[in-house]
Amino acid sequence: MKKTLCLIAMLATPLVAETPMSAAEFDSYTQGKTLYFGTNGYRYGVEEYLPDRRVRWSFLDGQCKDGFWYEDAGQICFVYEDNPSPQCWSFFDRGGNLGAIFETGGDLTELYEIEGNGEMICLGPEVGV
Amino acid sequence: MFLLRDCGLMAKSLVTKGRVMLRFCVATSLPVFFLTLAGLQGGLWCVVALLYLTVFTFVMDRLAYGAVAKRKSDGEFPVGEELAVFLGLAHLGLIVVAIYAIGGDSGLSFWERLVCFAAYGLFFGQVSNANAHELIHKQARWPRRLGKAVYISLLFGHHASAHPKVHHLWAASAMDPNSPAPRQSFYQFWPRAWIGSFRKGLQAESELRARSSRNFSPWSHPYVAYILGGALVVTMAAIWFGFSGVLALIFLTGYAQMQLLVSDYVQHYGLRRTRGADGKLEPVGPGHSWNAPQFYTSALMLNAPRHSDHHMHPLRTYPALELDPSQMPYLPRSLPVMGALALWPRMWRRVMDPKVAALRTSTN
Repeated sequence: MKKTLCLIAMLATPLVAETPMSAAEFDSYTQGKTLYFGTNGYRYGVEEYLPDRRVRWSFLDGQCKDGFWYEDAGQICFVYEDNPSPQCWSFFDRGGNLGAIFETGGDLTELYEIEGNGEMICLGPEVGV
Repeated sequence: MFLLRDCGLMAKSLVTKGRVMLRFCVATSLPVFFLTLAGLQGGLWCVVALLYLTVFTFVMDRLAYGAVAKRKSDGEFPVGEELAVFLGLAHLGLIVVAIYAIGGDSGLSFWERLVCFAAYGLFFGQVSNANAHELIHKQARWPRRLGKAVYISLLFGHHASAHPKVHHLWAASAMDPNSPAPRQSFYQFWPRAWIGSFRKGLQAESELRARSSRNFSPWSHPYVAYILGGALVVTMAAIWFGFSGVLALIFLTGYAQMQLLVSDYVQHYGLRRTRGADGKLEPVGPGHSWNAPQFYTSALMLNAPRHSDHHMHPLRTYPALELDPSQMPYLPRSLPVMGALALWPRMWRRVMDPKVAALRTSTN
């Protein structure tokens, strides 16, 4: 009985948990692209994927930040210029559509790729006051 | 410290962030001040706080009619995070003071305790709720945790999950427990909203964890913190202030929760997103929330009455939220006044159903 349950559980697991993309898969998917992301029904942000694993992110608010990514323990970790702590995500290829899950202290955020509309505006730094 | 820095920005120059933040700082800090004094000095300060949160706020709304938040000259908005963190921390202190004043050995008379119940309850319901809502939308970890702590202290922790993961996803549709069904009264709405948001939030979090490839300890499920945290709050009330303390906590948090639920009710009553031919819901637009432009109540509630823009841009910080009367429906009175009206379903429908019908004909 135990063996049967174990077997069923093992078979069922891939149905729930997808396999995250490796660094190579992520690199080839994103190379040279600008991807827009949404979450929970609203537009969340946009990321431009530059050569040499460099990126530029914006929360669609006119501000952009530069960063880079690397692989760590099966996750893709990003370090941006405004924060030395890496932010690590699991990326999934859902039939040509990128998905990502981010965990910070048990609080999960899930992003999915959405259609872009040319919103990646990067205004310069604040001048004057 | 935080407060002085954020509000102190106005000392630098009148055209910097300070001028925009001043209204939020003043409106929200005054009741914190009164209610802190109430805990130390007794019932009279509760009267002051109550008058401030009701009469004064109402009068100020009328006097400052037409004034709206302005951008600085260079088009930038302040982020307002220091004030939000200050209010979150102040809340955690004030709820202890409130339970002490109302249910503990504070020496207050019955009438003083009653006035304090109303004053603290209105503050938690209008300011703490609005502020915690702001905090849970933040990207940074610690402000978000502070927001969750505020909701947990109000025995409403699940709202921290259900609000972003259920309400924002399904707002103004039948799938959202926190959007009222057509012509539903508040009394029919609130139990479904409370239980529905609890269950759907739990489901959303569990499914999200299952989709991730990581192995999570069951103890890291957010609902564990909500439930155990709530139990801890009740236990602490019992230990420090006894049975009357627990009663005070239940009533006070119930009152605060009701105000949050009436806010959801008022802000989405009668508004529905349509489904396209492909079965997909239309994206959230300006017409899917009710808004209120009144100056002082907007300052008090950190622009929570600018609800359409918040749904369209949930990451936008509160000083930057916008109003557009040509596209966004307006309530006939301020949000707190409409919240009170919602408690009287017959009058509520008499006021609001014609407005809902008018919107429908104008879109068709």
